Amino acid sequence: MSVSEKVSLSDALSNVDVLDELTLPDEQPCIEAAPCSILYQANFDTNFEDRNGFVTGIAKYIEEATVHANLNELLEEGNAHAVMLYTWRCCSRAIPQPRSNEQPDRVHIYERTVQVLAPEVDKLLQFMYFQRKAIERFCGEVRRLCHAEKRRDFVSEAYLLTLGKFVNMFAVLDELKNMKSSVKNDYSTYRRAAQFLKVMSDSQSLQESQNLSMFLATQNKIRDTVKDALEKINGYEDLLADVVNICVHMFETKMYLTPSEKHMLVKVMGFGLFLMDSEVCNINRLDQKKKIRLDRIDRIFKNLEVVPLFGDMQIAPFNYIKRSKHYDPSKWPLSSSPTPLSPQADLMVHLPQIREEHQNYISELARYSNEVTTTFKEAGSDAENKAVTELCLRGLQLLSSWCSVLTELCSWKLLHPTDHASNPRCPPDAEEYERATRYNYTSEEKFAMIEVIAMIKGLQVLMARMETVFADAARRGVFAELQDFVQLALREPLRKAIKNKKDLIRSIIVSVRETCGDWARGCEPQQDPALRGKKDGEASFTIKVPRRNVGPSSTQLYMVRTQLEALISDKSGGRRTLRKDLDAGTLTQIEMFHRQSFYWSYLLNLSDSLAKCCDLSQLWYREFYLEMTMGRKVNKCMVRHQHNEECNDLVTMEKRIQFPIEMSMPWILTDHILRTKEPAMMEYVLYPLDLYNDSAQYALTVFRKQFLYDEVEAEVNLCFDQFVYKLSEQVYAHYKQLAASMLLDKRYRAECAARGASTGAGAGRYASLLRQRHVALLGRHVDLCALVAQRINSDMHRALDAAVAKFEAGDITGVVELEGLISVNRLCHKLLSRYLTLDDFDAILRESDHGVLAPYGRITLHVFWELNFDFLPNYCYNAATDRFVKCRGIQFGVGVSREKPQQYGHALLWGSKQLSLAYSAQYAQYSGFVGAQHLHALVRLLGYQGVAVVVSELLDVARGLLHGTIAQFTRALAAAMPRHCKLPRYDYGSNGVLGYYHAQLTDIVQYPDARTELFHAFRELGNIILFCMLIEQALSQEEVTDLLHAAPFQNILPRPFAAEGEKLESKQKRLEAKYAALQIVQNVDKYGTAKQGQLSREGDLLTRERLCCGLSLFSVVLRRLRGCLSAPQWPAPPTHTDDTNEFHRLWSALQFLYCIPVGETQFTVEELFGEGLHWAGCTIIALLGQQRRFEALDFCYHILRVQRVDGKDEMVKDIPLKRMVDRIRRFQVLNSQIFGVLARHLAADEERAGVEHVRCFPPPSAPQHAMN
Amino acid sequence: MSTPPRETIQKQIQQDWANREYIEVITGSIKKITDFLNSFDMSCRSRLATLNEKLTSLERKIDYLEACKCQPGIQTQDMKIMEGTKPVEL
Repeated sequence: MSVSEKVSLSDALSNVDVLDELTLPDEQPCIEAAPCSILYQANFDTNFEDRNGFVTGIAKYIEEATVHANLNELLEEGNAHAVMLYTWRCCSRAIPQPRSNEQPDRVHIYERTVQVLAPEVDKLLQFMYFQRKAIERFCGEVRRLCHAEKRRDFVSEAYLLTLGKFVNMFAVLDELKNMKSSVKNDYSTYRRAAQFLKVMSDSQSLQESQNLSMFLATQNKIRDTVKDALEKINGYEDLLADVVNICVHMFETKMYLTPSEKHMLVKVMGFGLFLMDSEVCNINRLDQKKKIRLDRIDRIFKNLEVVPLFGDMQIAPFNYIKRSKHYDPSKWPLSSSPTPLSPQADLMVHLPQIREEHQNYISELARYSNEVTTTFKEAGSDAENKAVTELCLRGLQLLSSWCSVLTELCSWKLLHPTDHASNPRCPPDAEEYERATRYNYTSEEKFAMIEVIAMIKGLQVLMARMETVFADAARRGVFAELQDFVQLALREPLRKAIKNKKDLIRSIIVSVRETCGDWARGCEPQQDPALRGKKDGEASFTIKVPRRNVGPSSTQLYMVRTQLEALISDKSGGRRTLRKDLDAGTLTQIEMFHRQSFYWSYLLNLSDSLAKCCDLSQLWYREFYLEMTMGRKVNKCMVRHQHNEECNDLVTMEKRIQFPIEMSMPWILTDHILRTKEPAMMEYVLYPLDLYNDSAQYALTVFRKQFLYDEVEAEVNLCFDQFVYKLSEQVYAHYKQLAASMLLDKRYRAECAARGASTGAGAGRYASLLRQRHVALLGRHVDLCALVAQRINSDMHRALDAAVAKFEAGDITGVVELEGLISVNRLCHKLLSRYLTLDDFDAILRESDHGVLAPYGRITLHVFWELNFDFLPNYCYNAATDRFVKCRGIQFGVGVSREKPQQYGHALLWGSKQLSLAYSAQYAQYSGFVGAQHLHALVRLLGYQGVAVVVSELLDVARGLLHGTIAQFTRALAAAMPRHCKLPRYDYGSNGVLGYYHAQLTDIVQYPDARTELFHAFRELGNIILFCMLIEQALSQEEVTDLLHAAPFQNILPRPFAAEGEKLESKQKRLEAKYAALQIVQNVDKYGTAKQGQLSREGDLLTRERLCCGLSLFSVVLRRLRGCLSAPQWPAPPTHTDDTNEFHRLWSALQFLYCIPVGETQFTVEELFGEGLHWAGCTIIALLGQQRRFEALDFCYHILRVQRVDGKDEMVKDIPLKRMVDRIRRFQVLNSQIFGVLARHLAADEERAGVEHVRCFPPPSAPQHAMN
Repeated sequence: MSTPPRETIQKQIQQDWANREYIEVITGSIKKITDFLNSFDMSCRSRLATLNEKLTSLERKIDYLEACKCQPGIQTQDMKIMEGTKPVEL
């Protein structure tokens, strides 16, 4: 569209309407206060600038409007001065003071001081002038209104209220001036410097300076000046009584909207009464004359003991009364007694009602907003508009009332700080502000506050969303009501006034009609019979009242309301009131209109009213307390212990310039949720943080102070870091607990719960928090989700790191627990991945295992380390249980020293203390032995590559043993063997045979190192062989499980049972059809892209072919070992049957040795070395191909054979023959088993006779494939 | 200054109503545009955050894969044991 092209208004408007139809999805749940990047507020308040346009109005009120305009300007100026005082921070403390009069640079210092402070001092001077002017103006107004002539004249509500606002302003300014000692200090610093430099030369400025310092130094100066000035005015107390009465009336009928207006009314009552009570006037007597009602005020003061004065300053309005001259406690029965506590102090009293109001209101709003969003209407009917307007007003009033409950509670708490006696948690040395905030709220109160804040902010969001609808309805509704009233309702009174010649009433009504009438034809219809005082005739006269989308201007509204008020007022300058001339119906109509139209200004200014009703910014401001603490040094106890009065650990901290976040209300509330981890409150956690937004907004727009904003910002930075840190820690711990308790056996968990150890994770409502992608904080938008994800990612890394480190600190049996820890982490990762984008779990695992940059990781290394240093030398195998156990009692080799286990938080391991206990009890069952569970866990953790590394390293160890220790011993023992050792004849009897061998082998039997070093070396070798065999078994079982799991997806179905007469093939077909949806390759081919199809086919092939090669790890191990058993360490000796230089002869000797039964107290070889010993021996024999010879020629076997025949049992050389034979028999069985296993693995190799080839199993296939 | 006739004033006031209505309509529309911009902002932020997250995750994956690639001899450091069992080509 070119720039020059004209767009008509209706086009432009419809363009705007079209914007609504664009869908702008925002996937995050709304659990924070209204975020707005752009704030648009139109302000049409003209402050009576347009008053001259309404010349038809009654002149008196136009004049009054002029006065109002001036007074409003003064009020605004007063507010600016109050802000100046409140936000004043001490400058002089930062300015260096000359230490002595001789200091050379003191002139320079003074010059600089004057230069720096002059603009500030100028503000103070302006402030002094202003208060003079304001007091003068105020007293002038009072004097004018109290003039004998006008005494009984009608004074409008708006006028009285403005005077009330003045009273309030004086009270605020006076208190602020009293409180700020830094202002006085700064001024005296300036004065000293200025006097030294003689800046103020002329007498006038000297005088002014003197005045200013007197003004600043005198306490209650403004208050006293006002009082003195007022007392000089005759009859001022009547006017003030009117002001107080209108405040009481407005307070009681809830004619206010924002909390600050409400509090203003109360302050005016207190300060007004204080001003009235003087030498000449006694408020008690006024009460008697019914001019004021002290009992009503008493009730108000009791209900609202403390009101906010400015920022964090508060005031008890009743204190004004107490300080007044004629204070009589009997007149104030409620306020003067300390009991019962004001309802203001207890939030819990209000909470149920607030909850109910909130629930009712939002359901009504929801119903209406659904209606609005689903139907499109140009404009509703009058009744609809009125209903919506009322709904809107009610919402504003609710928000305001909740806000005031909250601010009043905080004010009360600030004025009633706790102490060590009433709250033991509060240390005796706690700071003033700390006592007023941090320790001053109970847990329930904090939760209640959070809830109320959440309700306020939540409803604010809902109302802000509908703001345009509300504003539209309000404008239309107000317009309709105003015009109907003016054009129709006022017709009848006007007719009567004309008819009865009531000129005053007539002129007022006419003036009202002319001020704001929007006539259909542009002007009042002249033919209206009412204008001539006549009733409507037969031909009924109708007036068509137009409709518009606009409300009256602020001046118009003021004029209408004030003029109508004049009609119904019961005060009118001494003469009879106008009320008497109006009939009752008209009076109620006007009164009703007057009451309702009070709220119109708020409704027409909706966005501003809404913001003001929800403003909780003052919960953060603490200038008053800072002022009190500023100069003081803060004592702090740095030791964690129960504090008492004689605490010696106090450290004096630096002077306070700002309070720590622990004393700051927004953070106290946020932290309370995080600390208690209350799931019901978790979703509210962003609302208290929004208080910072309020405060920052206030600092920028009302206080207009950069430094305050900076302080808020600094605190937010700190708090938000803490918040994210704590939140992510909690989220991680929660999901870890959840995962851990999900993996725990159900019955075991029930058992734990029965014993009082709760292993459940509890409810955690983090889901919606974890979906927050733009949290608005001080105009920034923070991606909370990403921040938490980042932290949790690193937690994941640390947790896996901890799991591996825990494994590294223990022995090989810890591998089961390691697997458990990893699976808990995996589940936790899976649960969290629903909300957060985390790194791939396997990648994290490999990284923590240090397996990314190295070929094998920490786990593999530690497994090997443990195998080598602990498992091989210390464990004994037992085939009966299929386990390795540690030999009790004797320790071969040096003890194993491991790294000391590091301490990890529960969150990093199992989630919580209870879960840790439950799991450690469970995994304790796996310690002390190495069995199938451990091997399976090992296989799963190490994978092919890790197993390969471990096994190859073990083979190196085996080679070392075979070439080193074992070879040496073999040679040494072979030398000790008799050269020939025959099989004696049966004739000698078994005892003879035993005796023969014993004599022959005596050198071996007595060889000292045989039982220790040699057997130990054989055991290590045997353990290696056993480990390799068992690990292969475990590996194969895992593979088979995998394949079976994969089978249904690869169209490999178990053969169905076919009864007789049934066709197997058709059954098979049916099954295949049934599971067709599961078959990956076919489905991907059908629905996926070509690339996906290829990938799936490759994956399928990999899975299918996995077992097909039939590679046997153990065969390879055996072949490698055979490779080691060659020259030069293992020379092949020439063989002769009776020669003893072959290995099997040596082994026979050793077997003879260990078959000799031992005494009761001695360890048997089984106990000491387990079956590894036999495995080593048999393997070497089998690999050397000496198995047959061994079996034929073995000494022990021969004894056994002979004994079988003769069945003798006697002691031969202290050896019980029968027991020995029993042992031999047992070992024979064992040996033959071992040979059997070995033979199975070696058989294939033997056949191939050196040519390596692979056993090929056909891949498991489905019948379908077979047919193809 | 003489007061203008009544009708003129009434006409002026009516004109004022009309003018103010016009202003209100424009203001209301600006408000609507503001609301739109705010929700547009929120929606964009949400989508950009999602995108950002995806990119970050991809970047991390690339980092990881690069590190994997740099590993010295992952392809050669293999299963020492298995090599003996590879089918011998005849």
